[in-house]
Amino acid sequence: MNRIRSAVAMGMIGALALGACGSDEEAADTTVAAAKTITVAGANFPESQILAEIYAQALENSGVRIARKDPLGARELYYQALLNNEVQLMPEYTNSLLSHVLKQDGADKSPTATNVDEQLAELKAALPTTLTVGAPSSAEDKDVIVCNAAAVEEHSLATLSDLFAVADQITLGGPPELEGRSPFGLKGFKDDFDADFKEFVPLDSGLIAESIASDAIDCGSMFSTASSITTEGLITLEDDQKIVPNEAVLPIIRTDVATPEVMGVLDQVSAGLTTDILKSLIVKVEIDKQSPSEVAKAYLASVSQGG
Amino acid sequence: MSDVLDGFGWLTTAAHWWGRSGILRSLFEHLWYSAFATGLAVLIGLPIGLAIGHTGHGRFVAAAAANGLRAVPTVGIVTLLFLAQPRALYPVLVALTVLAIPSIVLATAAGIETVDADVKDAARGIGLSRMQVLRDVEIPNALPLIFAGVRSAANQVLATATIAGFGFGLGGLGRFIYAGYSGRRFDEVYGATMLVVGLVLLVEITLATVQRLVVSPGVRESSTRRPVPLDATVPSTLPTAIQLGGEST
Repeated sequence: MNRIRSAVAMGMIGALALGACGSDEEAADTTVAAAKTITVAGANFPESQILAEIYAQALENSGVRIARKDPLGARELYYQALLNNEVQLMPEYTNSLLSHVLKQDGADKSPTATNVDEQLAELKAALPTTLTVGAPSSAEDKDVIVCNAAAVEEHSLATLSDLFAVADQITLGGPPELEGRSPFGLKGFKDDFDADFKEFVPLDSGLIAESIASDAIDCGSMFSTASSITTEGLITLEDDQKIVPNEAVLPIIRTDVATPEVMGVLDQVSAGLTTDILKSLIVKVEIDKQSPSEVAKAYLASVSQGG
Repeated sequence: MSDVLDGFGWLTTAAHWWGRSGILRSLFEHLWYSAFATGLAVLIGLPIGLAIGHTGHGRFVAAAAANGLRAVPTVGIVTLLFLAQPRALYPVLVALTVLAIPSIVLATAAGIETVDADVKDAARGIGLSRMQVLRDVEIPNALPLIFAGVRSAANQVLATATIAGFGFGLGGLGRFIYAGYSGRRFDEVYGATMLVVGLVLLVEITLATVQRLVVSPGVRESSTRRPVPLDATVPSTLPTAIQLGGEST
C-alpha cells in the first residue's frame, strides 16, 4: 500500500513538473489578487510540502487568504516561479537559496558566509527587491551523501574524502539537478575535488533511497532529515570537507505581500521549529502516510495549545 | 527558434556523445528498448489479431481489452513494477510492450476482416484450406493495414521510451530531457527531443521501405485505385435482362 501511494505521488509529481512551465495567464491572475491572497507552494519533497502547509495554515489562522499551488520541482524551476509572481511564498534553506541567487544573471559567485547570520545578511543583499526572506528557524536540513552497506564495506567509506578518492568506481544517484550544481553537486565534486564519478544516475527524489538500498546504485544524494535513511539502513558519509554549510529553514516571500502582519506570523512559526520537530513531522508523512496538510494542522494545534 | 539552434549546438558538441552518460550510449539504449518492446508486441499481437480477423470471434472482447490496455498509463506501470525492484529494466520493457500491443492487434484484425469476402470465397472455392486462405490470401491482402499498425506502434514506443530516463535512471534519450529540464539546460532538452523525432522519422522511413518491398504490387495498387464496381458501368436505363447478362429472347 505504501508503495502504491508513493507511486501515485511520484506520478503526480512528474505530471506537475511537466505542467509547471509556461503559465503566464495564471501569473497575471495572481498579480490582480496579490493584495488579498497569498499563493503558497512547496518543492517536490515531503518536508517542503509540510513546511509550506505550516506557513499556509498559520497564515490562514490569522485571517490571511491563501491559495495553494501544487508542489513545484527543483529550485532552478520554482525560483523562476517566484520571480514571475506565479508563487508568492515558499519554504527555503539559507545556503541553497543563497548559492542559487548568487548564480542568477550568469554570475558565477559562491557564498562566502559560513553561519546562518552571515548567510542571512548576504541573502538580503543579493535578493532582488521583489523578494525577501523571513527569520530563519533553528530547523536545518542539509544535503548528505548516503551509501549502502556493500559500498561502504568494499571501499571502506566513512567521509566524503573517502568517497572522492574512489569516485571512478562509484555509481552515484540523485535528483537530476545535482548534475550541474556546485559546490555540492557533480560539477562541484569534479571542479573542487577532482572526483569524476563512474556514473551519475538522475532519479526521482522519491526513488533514491530504494535504489541505494537495493544496491542498484552505490551512493546517492539525500536530505539529512529523510526518514528512509534510517528505515532502509543506509549509511551517511561525514562531510569532512565542510562542503555543505548551514541550511536553516526560512520562508521566501514576494515583497509586495510581505506585510508586517504576515511576516509576524511567519517569524513566529520559524521561532517554534527545530530540526527534531521537522524530522518527527516527516516521519508522520513518509512512514505513517498522513498528508502534509494533516500533519501541519496537528502541529499548529499542538503549538497553540502549548503556548 | 534560438532554443532549437541551442539544441543543435548541444547535439554537435562531440564531448556530449561519449562516456557513460553520453548521447551514443543513450541512443543505443533507446533503440534497443524500443526494438525489443515493438518486436515482442508483434510476436504477441500479430497472432491474436490474425485469429480474431480470420475467425471473426472475440472481436468485441479484443477491442474492449485493447482499448483497456490503451487506457493504462505507461508511467503507472513502470512506477509500480519499479518499486518492487528498483532500477530493474523490465518495468520499462513491459510498459512499452503493453503500449504497443493494442494498435498491432486492432490493425491486424481489421486488415484481415476487410479482405473482400468474394476473394476469400473464391479462394475457398478453388479448394484452399482455411490455413492456406489465411496465409496466401488474407495476410498478403491485409499487409498494408498490418504494417500501419506496426508503424504506429513503433512510433508510440520510440516517443514513450523517454520515460526510462524520467526519474527511473534507466537511460535512453529521456535522461537528457529529464535532467536538462530540472537543471534548466534547455539546449539539452531540445537536442534530445530532436534526436527522438529524428529516430521516429528514420524508423518510419525504414518500415515504409520494408512495406514497399514486402507488400504485393497488386494489393498496393488496389488500395489507391479501387476497381470500379461492375454495375456502375452499365447504364441503369437498360432492361434488367440485359444487365444480368442478356440471357433473354
